[in-house]
Amino acid sequence: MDELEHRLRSALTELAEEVPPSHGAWEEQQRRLALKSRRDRRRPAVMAAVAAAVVALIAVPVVIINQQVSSPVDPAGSLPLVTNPPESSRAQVSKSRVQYVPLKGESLVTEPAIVGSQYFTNDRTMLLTYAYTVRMPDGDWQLCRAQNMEGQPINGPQQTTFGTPSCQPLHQPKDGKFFWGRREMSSPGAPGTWVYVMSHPADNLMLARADDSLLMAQSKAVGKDFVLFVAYVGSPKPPIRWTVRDASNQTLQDG
Amino acid sequence: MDVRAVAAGSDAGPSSMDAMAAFAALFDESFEAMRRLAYLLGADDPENIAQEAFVRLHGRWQTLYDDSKALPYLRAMVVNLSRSRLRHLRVVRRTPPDVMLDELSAESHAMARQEHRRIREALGKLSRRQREVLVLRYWLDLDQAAIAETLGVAVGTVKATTSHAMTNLRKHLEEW
Repeated sequence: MDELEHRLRSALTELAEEVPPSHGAWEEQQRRLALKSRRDRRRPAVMAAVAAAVVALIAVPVVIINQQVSSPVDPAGSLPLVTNPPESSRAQVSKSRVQYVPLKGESLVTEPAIVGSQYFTNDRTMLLTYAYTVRMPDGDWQLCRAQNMEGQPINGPQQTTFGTPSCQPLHQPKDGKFFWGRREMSSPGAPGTWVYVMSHPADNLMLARADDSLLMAQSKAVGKDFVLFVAYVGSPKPPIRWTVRDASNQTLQDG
Repeated sequence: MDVRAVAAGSDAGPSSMDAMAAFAALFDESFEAMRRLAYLLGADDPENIAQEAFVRLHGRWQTLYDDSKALPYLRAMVVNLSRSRLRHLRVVRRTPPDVMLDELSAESHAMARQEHRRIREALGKLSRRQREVLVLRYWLDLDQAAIAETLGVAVGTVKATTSHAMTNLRKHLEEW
C-alpha cells in the first residue's frame, strides 16, 4: 500500500467518525416497518376496491343494456362491500447508559432504558424518556418513569425541570407466575408505549393489541429479580393479552 | 436472547422469531456502518438512507438472511439510495456533501487536521463512481469482487475505476 492509500484510509476513518451516533435508530426502524406493514395490508383492500369499481363500471352498463333489451326491470343490485384491513402495529428497542442518582434508600434494580425520545431541531437536543426499576428500603419494588435531556443524569440537577420521576409499586408474583406489573409510559415521540416486568427466565413477550394483532415486546433491561420489556403498541388502547416465554420459546405464563 | 419485534403483527413461531432476532442483530451490528457509508458517499441524510436500506432488506429478509447475502444487499442498497439522493439534490440545485462536511467541520471539527481536510475536498471532486470505489475499498476494506457486487459492475471496471480515482485524487491533492 502506498503512502496515498494510507492517507486516504486514515482520512476516511476520521471522516466516518465525524458522524455522531444515532439515538433511537431501532425505534425509527420499527416505526418505518410498521408504516410499511400498514401500507402493505391496505394494498390488497385498495386493489379489491379498485377491481370492484372497475367491475361495477363495466357491469352496470351491461346490466342496464341487458335490462333494456329484456323488458322486465328488477331493483338495482347492492354495492360491493370492502372491509377495512386490520390496523397494524409497531415495536421498538433502544439501549443507553445514563447516570442515575439514587434517591434516599432506594437501589436500582434495572438500568434506565430509553423508551421514548423527542428531538428538538432548534437547539439539537433530545428529551429522553426512561423506564427503570428500583428496590425501596422496605424491600418493595417500584417501576419508574423519568424524563430528562440527553446526557443529564436522572435525579440530577436538571431533573426538576422535567418533573420528578414517577414510580408505581410492582407486586412479586406467586410461585409459577411471572408477571410483576405493567405500566403505560407513552411520550410524544412514542405513543402507546407499555412497559411490562416479568420474572426470570422470561426471554420474550408477545402481546395482542385491542384489535387482536400481535406484536413482540423488547427485553430492554435485565435485573437480578426480573426482566423489563417494552412494547410500542401504537394505539391508545392497551394490549388485551400477553404470553411470556423463555429462551426456548416455552410458554411461562399467559395473561 | 434479545428478541426484537421486527414485523408489526407478524406471526411469531420459532422460525419467525429466529428471523426477527437475526434481523435485529444485523441492525445492531451494521446500522452505524451503513450510516457512515452513506455519509462518506456524500449523502446529506445518511440516517434516512441507512434506515430505508434496512426497511428494504426487511422486505426480502426471508430469502436473504440465511445465506450471508444480507450484508452485500444492504451495502448495495445504501449505495443506490445515496446515488438517488444525490441525483435528487442535483435537481434541486443543492450540493449536500460540501454543505454537510463544512457544517460538521465548523461545528465539531474545527481542529481537524489539514491533511484530512485536503483529502476530503479532493474526494469531493471525484466522480460519483470513483468516490464509491474508494470508500468501499479503503473504508469498508472490501475486495474488488465485493465492490463489483455492491456497485453492480464488472471486476475489471472496479480495477480501472480505482486506478483512475487514485490518479485523480493525487492530482487534486497536488493542486490544493
